[in-house]
Amino acid sequence: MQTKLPQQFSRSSIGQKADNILRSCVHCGFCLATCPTYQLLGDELDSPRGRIYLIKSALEDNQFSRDSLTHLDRCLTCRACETTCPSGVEYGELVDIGRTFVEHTRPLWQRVSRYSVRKLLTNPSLFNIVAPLFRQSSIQTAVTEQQLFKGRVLLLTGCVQPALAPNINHATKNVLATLGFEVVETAQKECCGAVDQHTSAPNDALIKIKQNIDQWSAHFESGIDVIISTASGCGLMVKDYVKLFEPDDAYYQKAVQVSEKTKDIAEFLLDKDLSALPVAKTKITFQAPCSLQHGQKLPGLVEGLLTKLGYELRPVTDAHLCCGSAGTYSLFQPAISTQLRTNKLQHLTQSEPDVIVTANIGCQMHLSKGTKTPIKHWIELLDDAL
Amino acid sequence: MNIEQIQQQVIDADQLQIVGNKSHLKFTSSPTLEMSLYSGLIGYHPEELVMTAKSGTRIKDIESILGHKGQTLPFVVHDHENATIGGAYALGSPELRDAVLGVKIIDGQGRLLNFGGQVMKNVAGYDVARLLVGSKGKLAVICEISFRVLPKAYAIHSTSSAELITPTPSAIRDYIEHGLKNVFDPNGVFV
Amino acid sequence: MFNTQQLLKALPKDSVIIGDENTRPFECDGLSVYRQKPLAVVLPTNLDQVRKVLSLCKQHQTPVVTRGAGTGLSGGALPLENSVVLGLSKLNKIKTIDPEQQLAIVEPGVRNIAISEAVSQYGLYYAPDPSSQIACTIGGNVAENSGGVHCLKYGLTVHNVIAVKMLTLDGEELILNRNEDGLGLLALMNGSEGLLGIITEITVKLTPKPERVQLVLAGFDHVRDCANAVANIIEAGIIPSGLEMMDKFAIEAAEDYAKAGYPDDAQALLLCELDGDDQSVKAELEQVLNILSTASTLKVSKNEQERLSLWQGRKSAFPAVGRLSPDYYCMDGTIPKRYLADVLEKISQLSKHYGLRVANVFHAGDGNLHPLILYDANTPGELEKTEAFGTEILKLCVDVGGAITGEHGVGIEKLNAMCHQFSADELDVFHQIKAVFDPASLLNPGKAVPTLHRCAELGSMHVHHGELPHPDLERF
Repeated sequence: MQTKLPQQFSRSSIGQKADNILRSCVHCGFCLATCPTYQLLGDELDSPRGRIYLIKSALEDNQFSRDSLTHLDRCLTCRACETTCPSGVEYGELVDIGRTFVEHTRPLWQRVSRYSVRKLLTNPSLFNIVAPLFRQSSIQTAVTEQQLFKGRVLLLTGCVQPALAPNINHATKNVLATLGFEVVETAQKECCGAVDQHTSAPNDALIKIKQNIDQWSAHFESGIDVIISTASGCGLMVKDYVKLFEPDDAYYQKAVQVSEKTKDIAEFLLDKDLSALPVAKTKITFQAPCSLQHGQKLPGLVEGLLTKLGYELRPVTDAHLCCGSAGTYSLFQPAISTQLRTNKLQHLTQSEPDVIVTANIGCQMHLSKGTKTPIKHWIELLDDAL
Repeated sequence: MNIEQIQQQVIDADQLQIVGNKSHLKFTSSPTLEMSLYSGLIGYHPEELVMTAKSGTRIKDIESILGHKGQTLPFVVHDHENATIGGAYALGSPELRDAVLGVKIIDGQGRLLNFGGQVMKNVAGYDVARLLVGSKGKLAVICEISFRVLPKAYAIHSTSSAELITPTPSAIRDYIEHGLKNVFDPNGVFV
Repeated sequence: MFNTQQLLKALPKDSVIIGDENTRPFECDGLSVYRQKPLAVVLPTNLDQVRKVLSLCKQHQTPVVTRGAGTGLSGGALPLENSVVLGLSKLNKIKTIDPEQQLAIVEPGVRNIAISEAVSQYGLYYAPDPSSQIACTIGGNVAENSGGVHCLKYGLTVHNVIAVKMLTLDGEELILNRNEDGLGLLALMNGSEGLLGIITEITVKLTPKPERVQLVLAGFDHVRDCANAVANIIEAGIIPSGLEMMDKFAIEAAEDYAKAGYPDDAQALLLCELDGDDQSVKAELEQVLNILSTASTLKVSKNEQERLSLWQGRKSAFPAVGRLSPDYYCMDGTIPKRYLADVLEKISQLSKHYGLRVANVFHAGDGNLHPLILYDANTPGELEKTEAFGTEILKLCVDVGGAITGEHGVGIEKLNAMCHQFSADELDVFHQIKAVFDPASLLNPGKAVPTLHRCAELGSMHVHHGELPHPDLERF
């Protein structure tokens, strides 16, 4: 698409990036088909192509009002459009740039509420006070003793996950212990930065990110060379760290290392000998988190792993669509979020599974509010069977 | 008979009845335009699956030529013996309409016009070549027709094609059909 | 002057889009080089609202541009100045599925692929499959008479629509059926590009899924060998369900996106899909492999997953070319197949002459070419050069007995080329047909058929028998 960004802006590195992304879009409209909000609302302004246009307009110095802000706010950033886009448009990056650019048009009350939510979620000392009210599951199994030693890994503890569903990391440690891996955990206060980054506070995000990079790279010297994430949303953010630094930035090289060494737990297990894991005959459906299939571009990874392990995995209609959780989205866009959850749960429960499994704490919390079918992280299934 | 002669007849006539092999002729007192005199193949490219014929060409003759190349028409024409391709076009059927690719016609003002073509796909301009299928010789003289042919193995020849239905009459339909008659034959030459 | 407040009174609030900022994203369709903001965009949720919009537009003599998903490639849904864009994306219900009679009745905003998905459980599908099928709407398909890779065997949209309901500007409903006696009004509506009426309901024919489908991929060292293979397959009495060709450049782009396993050293690629019952596919496959035995690469899909993945590259080829160049201009000429190699050679010469790269993707089975001219809209003068190149390609197609557009439609983009394909008398007939359906000329006016003045100004007026038609017309 032709662009006419003001010269001054297009010379900046952000401007250059935005221009490149906009120029790669050919306006074919394929993305409309897999956009959850377009499917619900039928208005191109609530589609990736429409939003790209709104952002292009804003960057080109045309007016941008609260109307348009609403359409950007309605975007889940699920990035299903990126999976669909044959032209390789990096929509997720563009929408972050766009959102930051137009944040000043946001009404004060919204800024206040978004700020509070952001601070609450990213500050464990605050969050841990209210977390028990929302706790999804507690630790359910005994600690597995590690028998052999095959290596050490760094586990991203996460900020909200340990408070809401502590069993996930517990299960991960048990499974890794069974396979012979010793786990070093990061501190809970080391939030990945995703919440700030996606609520138009990139500067706050960057502070956290730099701290994390420093803390985590210190472990590399002690021989750890894998960082494991059990929440695909966080994993995606960490894998994207490298995109936030210019090659001449002092943090760039370290960011490359951190991003490259980060693996989703499923990715880590992919080439490991899993014969030590017992097989359970459980009928399951898998809710593929957008951050895993569209963000980290690992569609079918967990599904393949679970099938290989012998679980009875049932197909899910429209598995590419977001469940409506999308980070803080469910708090700020409750109507769309709830509708998406209803649709998603209908598809997930159609085959009457014993358990629904997922790979991201956000999806898990969101979905559990709408169904009686148990919802777990898939790694918990593996631990249950030990 | 050649195209210019047909054109001349149209220009000279006050009224004209277009006829093929006369199997569906209803007697009128108007002079007739004998399209059976304008017959023969214009082009046939088996690898293109396309044939162009003058409208007075007998279906039987077309089938025989196609047969030599293992091909056939993708539609059924009853009263096969002397039926012409132009007559079948004028009477119309959905399958025949599907097969039509292009026509060369002379309208009521004697204008020689081409619509569609000799290619499978052509969405330039309105699909007049298919619009006029079923026009019963009342809108224009159909001189030449290009149509799709098929390898025999692919022709699903049911002996009875779908029954034609009479559309529910309505003021808007009358208005449109009358309007289209006026587009092609404003002076009411073709009866 | 039209008061957009009246629209707000007639329709729900979230169905009316007004103001520069909100209407801008609708200023173009899939062909983004032509842009024009409309007065308003309306997204009605029922027929009653459609009628209200039409009535207001008629009252205020305001043009109506109907839009489906906006994936068209000829600017058919380009808004006109002071027009109302009538978006039918919210009319997206599948009303009836009748597996017995193999038909479905759908609203115009239903996506092409959504029909196939919905009827899949009955072993059926909707055959026409334009590359944009995941996004494009069936209403838009009818308006453009869309094709796709399967139309060689299963026909274009016109062959797969059983009936449509349409509204005139006056809001009167007309029901057109494929089997009705008399003129082919339904065929006329197919490909009418929104100039004759508003399509509000479509009955489509469903096709049983074939017992077996197999895709053959063949790579060739010479384009001419590939073109000859196409003719040989058809002449052998085989009609593949898809017969697609790509040149080296397009192969690279598609492979880069889809990782379908296309050979990177081939000058031309042929995808030949065979479907039907087990036995016939087996027999045809043997024949086809025989014909293609001189190919440098030969691959047969072993399972459904592999077949779809091989198609993925072809189906995404257009936007995938978007990765190689900031912009591309997609042509849509058709030619008799026997001229394929010659026309491609000529295009390649033109490409050198204009200094613009071309990727060729085409429906070889039905002679429908899609040369994609690569350019950069941000470079001054490059678009103009591209358009001149494109016009030469289309003239070339007409000169060998083909057409300027096989499936994308004329829209705003090919108005000049229309002057080359049709005589003034023929264009006059088109204008008169529009006037019958839309006497006030408010439905997508100015698209699809050029004015006689335009052609005269262009100086490329179609010449009949050595005489210029309409000598009385002033020529500039």
